[in-house]
Amino acid sequence: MIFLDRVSKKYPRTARPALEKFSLQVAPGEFVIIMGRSGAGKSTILKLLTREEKPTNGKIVVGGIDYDDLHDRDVPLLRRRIGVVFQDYKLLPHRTVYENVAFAMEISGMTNREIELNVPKILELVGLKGKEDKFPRHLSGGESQRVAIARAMVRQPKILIADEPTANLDDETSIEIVKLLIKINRYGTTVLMITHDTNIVKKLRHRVVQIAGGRLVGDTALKKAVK
Amino acid sequence: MRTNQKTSSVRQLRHSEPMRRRSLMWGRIVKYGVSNFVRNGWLSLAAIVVMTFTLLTVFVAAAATVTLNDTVQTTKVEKMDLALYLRPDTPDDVQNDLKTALEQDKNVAYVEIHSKAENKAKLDASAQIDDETRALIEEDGSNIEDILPIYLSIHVRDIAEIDGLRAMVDGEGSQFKAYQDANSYEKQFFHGENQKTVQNMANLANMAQMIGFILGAVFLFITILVIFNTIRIAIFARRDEIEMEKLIGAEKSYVRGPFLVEAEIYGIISGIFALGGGYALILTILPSVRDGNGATGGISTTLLSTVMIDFMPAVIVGMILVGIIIGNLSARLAVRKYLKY
Repeated sequence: MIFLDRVSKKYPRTARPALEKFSLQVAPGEFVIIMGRSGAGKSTILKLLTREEKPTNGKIVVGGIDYDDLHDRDVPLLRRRIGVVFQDYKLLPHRTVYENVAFAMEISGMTNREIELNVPKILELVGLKGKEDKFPRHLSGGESQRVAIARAMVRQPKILIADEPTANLDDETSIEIVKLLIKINRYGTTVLMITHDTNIVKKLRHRVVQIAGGRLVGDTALKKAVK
Repeated sequence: MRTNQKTSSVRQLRHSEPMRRRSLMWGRIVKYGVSNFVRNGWLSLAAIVVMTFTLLTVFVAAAATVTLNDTVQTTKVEKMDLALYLRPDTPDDVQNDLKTALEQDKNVAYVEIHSKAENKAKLDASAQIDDETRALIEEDGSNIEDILPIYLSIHVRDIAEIDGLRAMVDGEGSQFKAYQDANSYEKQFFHGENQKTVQNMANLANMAQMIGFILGAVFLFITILVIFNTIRIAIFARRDEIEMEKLIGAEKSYVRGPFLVEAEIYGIISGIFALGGGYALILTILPSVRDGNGATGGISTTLLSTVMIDFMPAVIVGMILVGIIIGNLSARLAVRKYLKY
């Protein structure tokens, strides 16, 4: 589902690459945690997967799409196939919970009927039923993150990438959000969770990929395979 | 790690999208544009005020240009003519043939034949010749009427473009040569009491046109700058939203569209205000211009009235279109810099 082959990324005017010969293969339906400290290269992976950045070297294939064949005009189409949840939620402040989620469908050219059918369903799934008319400023951190997850999932992508989804949340809320991601994964969505929170990682029994200094330093799947 | 994963073509990605519902998308873009316009409040108002001034200046400058050109054109044709003097013995049918030949020239509006009898009447009426002179001429049995010239009064559309006419009259093998009064022709080709006035008016019209053009250009520049900045501020204030929209897969046109719509709304509203102001101003001024100069006065408002009244729908559409184009252009400039993918 996700395939990175010896991917390197060096930003202009930086001494060392943010990512160096990083390889990763994620199977469909898998839940993978990418773990590492600040500056380890986690965000660069997200930027490469959403094509915010192009790799300096290496190959990226996501959902069967080879990024080498991708033109700039295709980038929006690619992004609609990948659900992304951001650490800072990135909600539209002037729109309600319902409108924020509906927006993701609107930009894809979905009809109002399709929107009216799907948005309530996804809001119910993430536990926001009854909060449709609230504005982001009236929501807690956990609720805001649920809106972001609903927005990422409303187009039913095959892949969900969550970038530090628990970074701004307390422990209890963090666990709720992770449980929600696991629930989504059980429906068949491949989930890639990027985090630096070791407490969360310890509580989960999923594959953990460790990254440090832009390099892959550990992968529980590989350990299991070796054993 | 080597790839054995199948890479599907990007074409497949393009075809996997649901059929684009263009009208639906445009409807949404317009909706968000209107909502941005309302949300911007004071910024929108400032942009509209500046744009209204620009369009009003353009409108008034255009009206002034039309009036001045119309006046100069009318005066040129009616009050200024070139005189072609013919020999006193030129037969009537030849006079008519020459008149017809002259009227073939595109620059010639019309030609009048001034006969000897008519010229004598004029001479008598003007009393420029006293009895003593008359007696002197008629002393040797000459009739004063016989020595008076016949002349063709040629009314041209553009006094600066008479080379063709000169060539026709004075060129090699010209049919006019046999009948020209050699004594008077060279000296009197130009003729007309208002020549200097007309020339002054033409200069004035050119100057007014230039001032209007410069003023319009200055206001246009200021407007583009103001709208450019208004949209830039709007983009800056919503940069996080724009970033998010791009990240969740909004196409460039979908992100850019509302900003263009917002600026076009400035154009439409400003166009309407400028039209209202412009019409009110001109309709207030027109009667006093007419009254002040009388029916035969120097300022011709016929063309302006025709344009403003008979072509009112076209003027309204044109003005609003100009507003939309200015708005769109300014916003495009602002958006181009800040909405790169």
